[in-house]
This record gives sequence, C-alpha cells and structure tokens, in this order.
Amino acid sequence: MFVEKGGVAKTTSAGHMAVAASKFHDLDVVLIDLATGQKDLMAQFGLKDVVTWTNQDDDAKDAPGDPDVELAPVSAVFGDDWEFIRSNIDNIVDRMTVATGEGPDLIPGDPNLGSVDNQLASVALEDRYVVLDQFVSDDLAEHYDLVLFDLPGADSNVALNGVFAASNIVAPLSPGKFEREQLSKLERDLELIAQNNPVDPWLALVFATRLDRRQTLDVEFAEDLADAYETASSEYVTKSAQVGYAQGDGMTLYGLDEDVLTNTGREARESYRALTDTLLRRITA
Amino acid sequence: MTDDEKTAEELLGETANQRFETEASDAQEGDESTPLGDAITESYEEIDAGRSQNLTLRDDDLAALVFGLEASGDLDDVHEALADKLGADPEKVTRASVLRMAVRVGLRDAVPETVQTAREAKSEYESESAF
Repeated sequence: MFVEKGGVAKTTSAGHMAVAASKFHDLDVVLIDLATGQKDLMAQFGLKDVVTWTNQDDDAKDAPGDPDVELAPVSAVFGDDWEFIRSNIDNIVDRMTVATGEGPDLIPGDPNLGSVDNQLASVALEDRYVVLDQFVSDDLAEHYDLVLFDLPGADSNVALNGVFAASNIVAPLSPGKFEREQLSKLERDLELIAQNNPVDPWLALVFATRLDRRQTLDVEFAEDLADAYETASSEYVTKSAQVGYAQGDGMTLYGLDEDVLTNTGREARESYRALTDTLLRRITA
Repeated sequence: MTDDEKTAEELLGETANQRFETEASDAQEGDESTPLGDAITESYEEIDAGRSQNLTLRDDDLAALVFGLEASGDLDDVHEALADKLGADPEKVTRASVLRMAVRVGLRDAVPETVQTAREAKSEYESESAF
C-alpha cells in the first residue's frame, strides 16, 4: 500500500485485503509493516501490547499487558550483518512473524526502522533499493503465496525498497483534492523509478475508501477516480464506524460475527473482498 | 549452539547499535569536534525528532549479577540503595530502572564534571524548547 498522503486507510486496507486473500483464496499471506514507528497494523490485530523485540530494553518488556511474543526485528534485514544472520539462524522468518489470528501472519515494524533510512543513504545507489526484494525472494517466497507491504506515507529509502519489492502498487484514497494530487504525483514517481531502474512498478489498483454515499462530493470523487485511472476500481469502500470498532477489538471486519454487522460494515467487508479478488486477478494475469 | 549461531544471535540483538555507531563514526571523520554540551543538546533534539533512546549492552558478568538479583529477590534492595545515592524519587523496580540508576551513579562518581555539563545542556535545551 503506498500513497504519500497519510490517513487514507492504507493500513486498514492492507489488513482487510490480507485477511480476504487468506480467507477467500486460501493463500498463505504475510503483512509487512514498514510504516515507521506507527504500530498501526499491530493495533489492527490487537497485538500492540503483546509484541516486543529482541533488542528492546527491559522497560518495554515490563510494559502493561505483559508482552509475551519476542520477535526478531525486521530492521535487521537492512543491516550490514543480515547475510550472516540469515545464514546462521534457521528459523529467522518464523522469529520475525506473529500470527494475526485471522489468517495472515504479520511482520511488524520494530522501533529501529526509523534509523534504517539513514543506514540506506550510505549504501551504493545500485544496491540501495533492492534489499527488501532480496529478502522476499530469499526468505519469504518459500513460506508465503502473497506478501503485502504497508509502506510509510513518505518518500523514503524504506518506502522505495517496498516499491521495488512489490512492483504491484495499491493506492487507497479517501475523498479529497489533495489526495488526488498525491495520486498524480505517485504516477509520475513510478514512471521515474521505472525509467531510472531495472524495475517496473505499476499502479495495480486504485480505489476510494471511507466513502459516504450521502455526500455528493464523495460520490463524484469515486467516479472521477474511475474515469481518470484505468486501474481504478469501480468498487469503493463505504465509510463505516464499524471498521474502527472492530479495530478497537483488535480485528478486521471479517473477525466480527455476521449478526453484529451493520449495513455499512457489511458493505465495507464485501468491498474489500471484491477489491482483493480484483487485485489478485491483476497481479497473477 | 555453534559459535556462528551465537554470533548471529548477538548481531540480531545489536542491529540498532551497529547502525548508530556507524552514524557517529561517520560524523566524526573529517569533522571538527563539537563541544560536549552542544553535542548533548543536539542529541536531545534528535531524540525528540524520533531517534531511538534505546541503549543496550552485553556483559556476561553484569547479566549474571542482575539475573541473580532477580532470582534471589534482592533487586529491590539494590534499587533502593541506588535511589538513595541519587536522591531519586521512587519508581517501579525493574531491571532497566536499576541499570539506569547504576550508570548514573557510576558517571557521577567517576566524571562529575561531565554529568554537570549534561545537566546544563539539558537545561539549555528545555529553555530553548519552551520558546
């Protein structure tokens, strides 16, 4: 998921589409949270107080909620010693991942991801953006059918690593003029990346989120999006307070019982399923 | 566990520190040295901007001591003794709180001028941030 603008439901969309891919397509899915320091994907699945990392100090381990899962930090992938580490620790991928409880696994972003950008800045340009792609090929491919990245909403070395690794870019957008401008910028940036590097990222899926059908401007936004972008989906995600309530309980809409779903909750759930179907069809075509 | 496995585990835990050491040594190469007070003030700014405030260390003897104190139930006494030395307010007794205070006591006893410089730098940073 990648758009530079924050607050467009990237994380919500990543979580729901990962679950939909696992649940309805029987895929082994892993989510990787590279949105530095946000912990949003952990919160989505109720894992915020459950997870700590091997290099955190003891204050974090004594935090309320008694963290009971200690993970290897994904930031290690970007370090100088990664090759040695992965060659000598057999189950390194298992040690980075935690089960979401709704099907997919999650590799959460550890606090030291914030310093990865500086580290990457000193790496030679030809090697700077391929670190994550190498990790996917060498270490994740044997375990998973689908890898979804939740990328930082900023133009950073980490985000570009995600773009290189994924190639298939998903851009959720909530209604707004600024969001449309960000999408245009993203298109230009992807073209520039393709011109200057041996990689061909493309906007595989664009869709509107948090849409209130009662608001004319929102509906026009979705229609405008569909007209302007070939890969925009006519499917949009309805605004639903139930998304937030489910997140508060540490789950996606798919974790809720059928009988507690509101109309908008049900619509949003079905939309994410349809969007996932579309995405999978496009990336496997 | 083989030696290489052990080294890999240590590297996994030290990833962040290696990164900061690289940044620090890069900054020192070819640069004029920065007075300590200014450097500390800049570090507060960096921490506020998101630089990690984690400091980790690996030491067999200290680890054995601290684990032993926890197991024997004597960690609280050590915590109290250190807090008395510092005149510190009571806080939750954890491994980290004991180590924090131990480092502070050690620095204060060994290099009191350095600690004074750090206090002055913090005051300066806080008064600048207030505006």
